Amino acid sequence: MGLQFFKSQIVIRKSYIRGENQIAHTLNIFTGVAMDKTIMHIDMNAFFASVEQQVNPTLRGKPIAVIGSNERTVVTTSSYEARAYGVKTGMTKYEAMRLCPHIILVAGDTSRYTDTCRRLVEIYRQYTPLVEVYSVDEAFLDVTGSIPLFGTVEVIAKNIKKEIRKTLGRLTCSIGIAPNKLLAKLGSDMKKPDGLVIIQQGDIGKLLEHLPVQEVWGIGPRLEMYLATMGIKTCGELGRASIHVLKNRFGVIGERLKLMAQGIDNSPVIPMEHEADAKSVGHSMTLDRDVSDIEMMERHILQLSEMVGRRLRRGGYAGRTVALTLRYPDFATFTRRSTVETCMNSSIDIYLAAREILNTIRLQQPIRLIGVSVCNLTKNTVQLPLFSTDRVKQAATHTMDTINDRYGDFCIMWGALIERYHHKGVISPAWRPAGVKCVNLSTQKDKKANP
Amino acid sequence: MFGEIMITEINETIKVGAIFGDNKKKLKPVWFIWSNQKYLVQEISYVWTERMGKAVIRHFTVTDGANLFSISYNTDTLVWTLHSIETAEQEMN
Repeated sequence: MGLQFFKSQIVIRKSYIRGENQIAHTLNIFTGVAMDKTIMHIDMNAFFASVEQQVNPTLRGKPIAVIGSNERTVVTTSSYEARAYGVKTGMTKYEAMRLCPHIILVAGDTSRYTDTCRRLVEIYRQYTPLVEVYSVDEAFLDVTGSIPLFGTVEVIAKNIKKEIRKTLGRLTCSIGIAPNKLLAKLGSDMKKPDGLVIIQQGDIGKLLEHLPVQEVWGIGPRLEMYLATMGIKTCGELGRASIHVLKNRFGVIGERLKLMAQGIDNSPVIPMEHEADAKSVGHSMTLDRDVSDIEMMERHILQLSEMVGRRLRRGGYAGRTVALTLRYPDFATFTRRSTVETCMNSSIDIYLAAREILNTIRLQQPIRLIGVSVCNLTKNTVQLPLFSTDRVKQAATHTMDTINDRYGDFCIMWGALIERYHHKGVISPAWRPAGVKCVNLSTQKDKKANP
Repeated sequence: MFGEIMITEINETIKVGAIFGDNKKKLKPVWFIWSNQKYLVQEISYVWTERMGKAVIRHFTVTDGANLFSISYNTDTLVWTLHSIETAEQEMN
């Protein structure tokens, strides 16, 4: 299996006093055996609901569901007390009320959750710099090099739980520890809430033999159905399946499925700072009411274009392809794209391109959702305006950005957006605490008291 | 019978007595005055931070034992704001 190395470590503990925070780093120098990795997956339990129960003491121990603030809203998450009645994520609030008549509905505040995520990441980084934020309530930690510093991996896990409780109150998490990300995520799923599951190398075969395939991260209902038609229901069966048959049926991913079923996953933990550049930047909004009026749609497109443009410019990106996504009330969704020769990141250019796309579409029904995105991105492209109108436009954009950076998004805006749609702050799965994927989800509508 | 949290939005500036640097907590509101009444903070149930442009807004949910208040401190303008009061109400179906 390659060369044998012996690994020794030089542990340097650096204490940085920043206010009350201390950060410890471990530097490993590779001189020895290639060690098995130890990966931790941390999954916050009923995250939004737990935060709300911490915020409001009267909600503790009661069935609650966190919902959005508009009429079409669904349950974002429910407390364990509500889950006992069958209340699940994705249900309408009416379904939730039917299942649990005394459920308490709480409008979510996304700024609380995103800030809590940042504080969680600060806790994780006390134990390893290799932290991959998978979503607002999940993270992977590579603690391979941290174990000698803290003793055992259980100590690290228990310390993290204790630190979360001390800093954030009643929030709990389930932790899975395993030689790779796939198995660590399986482990965290196995005991909820407040679980700690360690999967050793020797346990893997027995664990996976009878495990249904849909329990594996990355195998969804559609793949499960296709595998079932092949007579494959468990990971054991999938792991023993012919690689040629799997490749014939599923193409390139056939081999990956077989490896997954055997618990093999070599994907590394990628900290945010090392994530690949963004491939696209976009925003979408589900409207409170279905819209047929073209002028209103154009206003929404302008708002979305401004949000996309701001993020592109902040990240130093520009793109050549604008995509407009529309969804009808029956959930039929389609996207149309337009590609131009020169890269753009000006909000008005994005808006004009998206509006032109809209003009080419013959709408069959009113619109429920609108999305604008820009892809075909390049980074750090400097656009030198040739004409005076372009120079004026660039200067105006820069000035607007400077003012909004100082005083907050939409502090200065296009006149048409004075009566704009207030984004309800749904947290995308792609959201990250920093970088171009960090979207400010403030739902503050009234800025009067914070001039 | 289901319950819904009733939030009354206020969004008014308030006067706050606070301790800075108290035992690892950077900022801790102790009392505040709103509508000529003084409220003593019995418990700070949650703290979180939000950015509005360059300004950092430090949010607190606090209770005086009877009601839950959402207040915030803008570190740029040095203004305290009472955003809302939460009370739990129940409706009959």
